[in-house]
Amino acid sequence: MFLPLSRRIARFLLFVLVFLYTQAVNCKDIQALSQHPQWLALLHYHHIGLLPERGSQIDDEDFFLAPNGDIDPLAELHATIELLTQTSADSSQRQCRYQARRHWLATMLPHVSFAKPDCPEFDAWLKELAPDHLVLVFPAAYLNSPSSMFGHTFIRIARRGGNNPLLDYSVNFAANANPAEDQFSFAIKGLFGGYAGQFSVMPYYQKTNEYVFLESRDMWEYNLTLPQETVDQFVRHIWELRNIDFDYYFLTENCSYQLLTAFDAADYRLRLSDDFTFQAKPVDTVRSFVSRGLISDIQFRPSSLSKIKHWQQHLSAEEFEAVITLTDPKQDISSAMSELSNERRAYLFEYAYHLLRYRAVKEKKRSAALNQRALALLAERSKLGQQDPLEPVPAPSTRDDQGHDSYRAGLMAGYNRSRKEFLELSLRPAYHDHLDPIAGFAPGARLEMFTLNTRLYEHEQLNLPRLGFINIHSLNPSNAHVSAASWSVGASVERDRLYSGLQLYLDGQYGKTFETNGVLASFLWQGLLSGTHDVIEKPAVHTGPAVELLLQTKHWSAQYKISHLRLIEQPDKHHAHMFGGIAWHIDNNFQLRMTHHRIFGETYSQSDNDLHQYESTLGFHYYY
Amino acid sequence: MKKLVLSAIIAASPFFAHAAGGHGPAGCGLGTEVIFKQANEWHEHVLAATTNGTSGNQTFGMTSGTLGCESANGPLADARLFIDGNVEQLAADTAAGAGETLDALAEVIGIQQADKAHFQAHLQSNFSQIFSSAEVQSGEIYDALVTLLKQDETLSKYAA
Repeated sequence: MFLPLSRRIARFLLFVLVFLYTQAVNCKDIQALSQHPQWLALLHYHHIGLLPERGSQIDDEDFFLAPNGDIDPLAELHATIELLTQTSADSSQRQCRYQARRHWLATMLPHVSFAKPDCPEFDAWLKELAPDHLVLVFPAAYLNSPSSMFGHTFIRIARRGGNNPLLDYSVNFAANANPAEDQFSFAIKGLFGGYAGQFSVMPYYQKTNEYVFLESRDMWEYNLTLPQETVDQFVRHIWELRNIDFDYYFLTENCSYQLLTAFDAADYRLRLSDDFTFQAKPVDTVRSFVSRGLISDIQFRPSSLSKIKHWQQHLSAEEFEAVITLTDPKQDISSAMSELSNERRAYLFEYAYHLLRYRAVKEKKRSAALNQRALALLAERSKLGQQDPLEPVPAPSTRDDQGHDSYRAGLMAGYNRSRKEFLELSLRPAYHDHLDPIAGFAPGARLEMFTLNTRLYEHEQLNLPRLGFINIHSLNPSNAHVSAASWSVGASVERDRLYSGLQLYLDGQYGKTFETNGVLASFLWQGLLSGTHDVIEKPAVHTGPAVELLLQTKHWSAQYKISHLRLIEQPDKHHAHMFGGIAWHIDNNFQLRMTHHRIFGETYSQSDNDLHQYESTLGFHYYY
Repeated sequence: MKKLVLSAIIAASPFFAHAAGGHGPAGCGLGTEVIFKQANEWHEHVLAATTNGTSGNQTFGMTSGTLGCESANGPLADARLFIDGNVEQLAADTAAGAGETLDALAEVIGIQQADKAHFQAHLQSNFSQIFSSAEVQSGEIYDALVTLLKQDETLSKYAA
């Protein structure tokens, strides 16, 4: 079909007009506009970390319209305006992607007539999300997983008129790793940017099921007080990022950091990502929102384990025993409950069910007998009618983001047996040990990475006594209802610990922890692998029992540990190691700490018969 | 592929042996498996510490119609999807006759405030009909729910 000539001429003239107009605008404003911080934020021109990088952090040519759009914001702006002013039907598909760019450019260039494409897919998506406000979600560290201290953040989009968060959608940035890939290459690739990260949008209940039930992690939900315009622009920008790849770096361009850059793209004046120059820990990204006063109110969503621990406190001794019967598939359900009121029976059925389910997840157990038992408990519960026996779990008095800051510097004075007095400076980029202030952290959990200690002895050069690569401890109290293993792993290079010189030490422990009167008592079996041994000329393995006592209170913490290890090759060679420490938390980010180490036993070298070292330190730790 | 995705999710569901699956809207709206769901082993912790909340997922929250869930239709298509993703939480809430997940189901079905208490009680008193065995699949749960609503004088209007 041919259009009438007059229509074709009119179309052509319109095109020429638009073309000339945009050209005119180009000369005047476009150059300046391309350097506007909002435009740069929409293109994700940011920098974080030690590696040099310029231009955009988005590593996907599909996101850019100009071939060099990832490094040339002016070229990208030209290409964007060109696309968004086209009126042909076949360009509307591509125009529909750039909802946020279009919206911003339309306000900045009111005289340019941007096309108004039909975007049914986007419209349906937006209608489903129905954004009213945004909620920052921070799954807290879980009690038995110190590694989760590092944390994760994502966004819930609260629906207009919705009153059940489970039906909201969430926005999550994560690496698109292949689940079939082996875990070590996964870690290596993750550290060096071998994975592509993408934004995804999924029902919020999937996230609560994942965190609250499967991982047993409490969740903090922070309502964000952003103007509706910012909320809408955030959602539009998330649409722009659909299927767009970012290189994912675990320590810098990670889940939490890229959320911040998406907020900056919505409104550059937030400048949330500017807080991070070297690395981005999720908890610190939460603090960025808090410090800008962007938070109005905070909800706590307890995990299965937090619920179990809370409900457990309201059981009598008889009820505690009855639950053991209830959760044992071999015993009769009704026999355990003869003399209780309906309300208490309901309480026990529900509690026992949650306990069974927690255990099944924890132990990855899929026994048919356990499943049937869980269902039988619920069936019994359903016969008791509507009661509300399980009281809600109160939120902890200190949130995770209110705990001590992530970096730590220490200045200690000390003396030891062999070399007398010294001054020690320590630096630790992450995260928490057993003597650090406990508020906001899980009891018994420890996670340290890249701890560096340097020492200055009198009349000597600076010396490096220890570099700790990683140290993870998880001391979980067990009882007859909740049983959990306690364990630790560590890797460090240390000077003169058991053998002379700098040596690599790999450390591991496994055992059980019990809690009594607030004291965690751990009974562990320890294995210690050291670098090449002086005498046997190969790596030496030592093993033996260890006992650790830990008391962590609001104002002070105390720790005592003793272990007795034997050399596997020569069991007559053995040593005992004692450590005692006490710390006074002057405030959340400042601490006075005193420690004492002692090692004695058979020496592992031939030159000397007795191994006896001791060392005491006193000094301050500062968290920043 | 859908099958594979779904089985990954079911594998993480400790209670119902084959929650969802089989027939029904297998996997629509649901994501791929999440790595480090349960970091139990020490090496998983070391990796989790260094890999920091990394989980793969490609969904983009498209509505059921656009995600290719052709089988999710019928009077309560949204409810069907919701049940599929929340079998265990729903079982616990139904037994208790209350809870956030049961509230969400009521909202998805569109239960009016006046009928809500009755809805909860009705489901609770018929718990064993809905959750008939530990091997029950989400499609069967959905069917049982629709049947129960239809049988009830007050609630039948929601299943029409």
